[in-house]
Amino acid sequence: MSSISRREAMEAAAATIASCLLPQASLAQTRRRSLVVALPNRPGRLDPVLGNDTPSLRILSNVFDSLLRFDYAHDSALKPALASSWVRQDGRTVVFELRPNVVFHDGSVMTADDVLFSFDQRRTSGPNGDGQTVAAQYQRTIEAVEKLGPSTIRIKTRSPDPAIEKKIAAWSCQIVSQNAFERAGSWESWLKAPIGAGPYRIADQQRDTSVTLVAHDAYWGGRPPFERIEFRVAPEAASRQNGLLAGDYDLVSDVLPDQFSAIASARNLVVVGGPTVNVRVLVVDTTGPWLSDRRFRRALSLAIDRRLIVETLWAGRVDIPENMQYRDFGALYDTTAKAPGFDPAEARRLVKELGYSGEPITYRLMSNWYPNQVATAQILIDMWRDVGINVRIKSVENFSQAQQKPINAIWDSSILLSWPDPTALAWRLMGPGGGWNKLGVWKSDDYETAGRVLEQSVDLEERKRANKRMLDIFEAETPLIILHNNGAFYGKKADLDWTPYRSPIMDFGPFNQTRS
Amino acid sequence: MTSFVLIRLLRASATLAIVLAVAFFVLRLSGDAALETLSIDAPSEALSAFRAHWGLDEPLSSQFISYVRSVLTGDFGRSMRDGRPAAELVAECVPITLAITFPALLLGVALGAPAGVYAALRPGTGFDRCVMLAAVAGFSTPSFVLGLVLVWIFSVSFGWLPSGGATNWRHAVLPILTLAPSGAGTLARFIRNAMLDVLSQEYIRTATAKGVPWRRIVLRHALPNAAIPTVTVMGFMIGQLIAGSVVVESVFSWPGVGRLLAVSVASRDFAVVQCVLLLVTLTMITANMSVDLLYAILDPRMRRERATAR
Repeated sequence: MSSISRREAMEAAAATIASCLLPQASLAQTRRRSLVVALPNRPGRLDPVLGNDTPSLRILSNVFDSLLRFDYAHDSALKPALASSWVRQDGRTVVFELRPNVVFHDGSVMTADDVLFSFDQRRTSGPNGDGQTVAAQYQRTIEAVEKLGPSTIRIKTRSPDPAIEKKIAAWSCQIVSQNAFERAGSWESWLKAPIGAGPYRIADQQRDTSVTLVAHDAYWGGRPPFERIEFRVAPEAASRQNGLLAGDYDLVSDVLPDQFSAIASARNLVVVGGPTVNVRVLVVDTTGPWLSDRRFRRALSLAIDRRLIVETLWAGRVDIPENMQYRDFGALYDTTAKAPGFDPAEARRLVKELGYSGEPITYRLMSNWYPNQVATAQILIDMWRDVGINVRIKSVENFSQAQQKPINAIWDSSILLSWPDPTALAWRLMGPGGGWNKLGVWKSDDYETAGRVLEQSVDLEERKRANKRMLDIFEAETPLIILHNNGAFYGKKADLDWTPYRSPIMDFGPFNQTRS
Repeated sequence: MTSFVLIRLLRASATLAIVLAVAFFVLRLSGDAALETLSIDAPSEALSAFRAHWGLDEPLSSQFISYVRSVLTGDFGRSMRDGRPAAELVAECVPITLAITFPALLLGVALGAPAGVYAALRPGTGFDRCVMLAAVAGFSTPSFVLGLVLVWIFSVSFGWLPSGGATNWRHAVLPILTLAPSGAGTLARFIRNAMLDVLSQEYIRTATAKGVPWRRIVLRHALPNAAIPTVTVMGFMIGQLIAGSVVVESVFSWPGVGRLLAVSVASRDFAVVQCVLLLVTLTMITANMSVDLLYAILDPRMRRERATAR
């Protein structure tokens, strides 16, 4: 019988304990948290060429990647993504070098052909041509996408487009696997589990109920920080709040200001978020009686105490933009511009000067499509009454009712900065082909001339001048009344490492963790 | 009896036709499905293509005629959101809704009926007042308020039940508890009043004077007679099985017919809304016809009247 010394016995015991603990430690390192996220709704169809609404941006940004991406921590600076580098050759041409070894969710490796296919009409037009609506907003100027080599792509636009890289990074230009699309055989099959190259793949989806993502560990940008994310639809704000308080959800979106204290007072929960790049406006039909006079529109704007609205309805947690622009414009941001003023005395003077005698102005109001919409409308009615303007609310159910002709009214809307450039804000809707331009609610030849320069010039100074001119016209003409930036607030477990952006995108990938 | 059923079938068909027409025209006149689905940003060509694809560019009368033709052949149209057949979507949601509404109905009957009978047998007592107070509270408390209170108690405070979703049976408990009090309260009040009416009839006094035991009077004479008005209420309650839980389904994120209807109305998904409304109407009509037939079985006077009429 062999004898064992006390030292040997202790070493053996230590080795046994270590062998038991080490795998645990390594397991702990690899184990990731799974999340349940409650949202008011989910995208109808899971392909970014078919939807750029808030639910699509929130969920699909985790599934699909484009050639370029935005660094939201640094004023939406452009960064390489599926392209490792890019070079602008002239006003119409950008050449992209593809990142090697990018793996799609089905395990295949991305090629230049996948990029060509992703911009091809077979994909961008969508089922029954539905994709024209969304994809066209970003790809309208693209004339050709060409393969110059196995990993080199050239994108040419019909006319000079200084913002094309930003549009590509923004939406609808995400790259998908051509083989997977063709294997699916139909849009119906494809939309059950589309294959992209983002940090998460779609594992399950239930109509109007949930979308479940699981980590794509071969993601080019690093290991996704969460194992599984289940986005659950909880349409009622109170239900989302209760679910968070009960511990059913790790994160809830669309927290209303009057819920802040209830969530923040819970021991393990916090409210995060703030103003987004989405400006709340009142659209004015400038062809209507009284509304056609820019002094009257100016009086409507000057009568509004925006600071009071922000403080009372938003707990002071959103801000007011300095005219129709964001810091994300970079060098194009006009630092001399100011936020819309509050001057009831001047508003009263303008109303008197016009000889307005209380004829009712119609305000077509939807019921809380936007947070605090009805409360804001009631405050506005009082503020306008104070300066002698008689505005009457007409309740409508949806946007098509709000915009039904003849309009002769004002109505609520918001403009999302779809890509960080002035062409993505008011110009997108008020410029030729834009929704409000088509409605014919305002037209300005000067604005359109300056807008064309802004849209097509690649000379920075020329673009700055055009942008300044457009902002000045906007301020003088007041075709839209700026209220404030919309807020996006989230309730989350305090130990959840996730940071919201100023965009509707909810990024659960490694870049969000890098930031936090 | 045959003519009785035939007349009711004719009335039911007329009701169905009216609902079908009203739903069709009101939906189309209250918003542009192309704009609601594709948004104001959509290029004109895309809007036109959408309208052409779904036949929305045709005159309303032509749209209606082709819709009626399709319905008569069993085709209820397709969802504009994902192209799936509307009937298939509705059929998927019906069992999910019934999973909460049917148990809620049973629970309502189990609580409301004995409470109403017992309260009627002891009118004016403390028990009667308590039952009536609970009944009024049950049917007058809005379901979204009750739902949120129950979530607060059972999910947030005690953590016993999930606050929403539809993954397993535990998710159904709070929606059922939210739906049941309304039915229980309504039923308790109706049964109590019906029983009090019957108990004040002369034949009950006669039976009592003849020395018939009270238990026998209640079971053989009062309850069957009180069942007639009660059956009417039950008919309404059964009719609401499909569409009576829109609010509760929203509060508890329960993916049933109510949620489908709410989402489809918001997105002007015509085919789905119309299909749900037709189903709801059919359920109501069937419930009402069943009640009418039950009257005949429960009330011998009606059988005699009909026999005399023949």
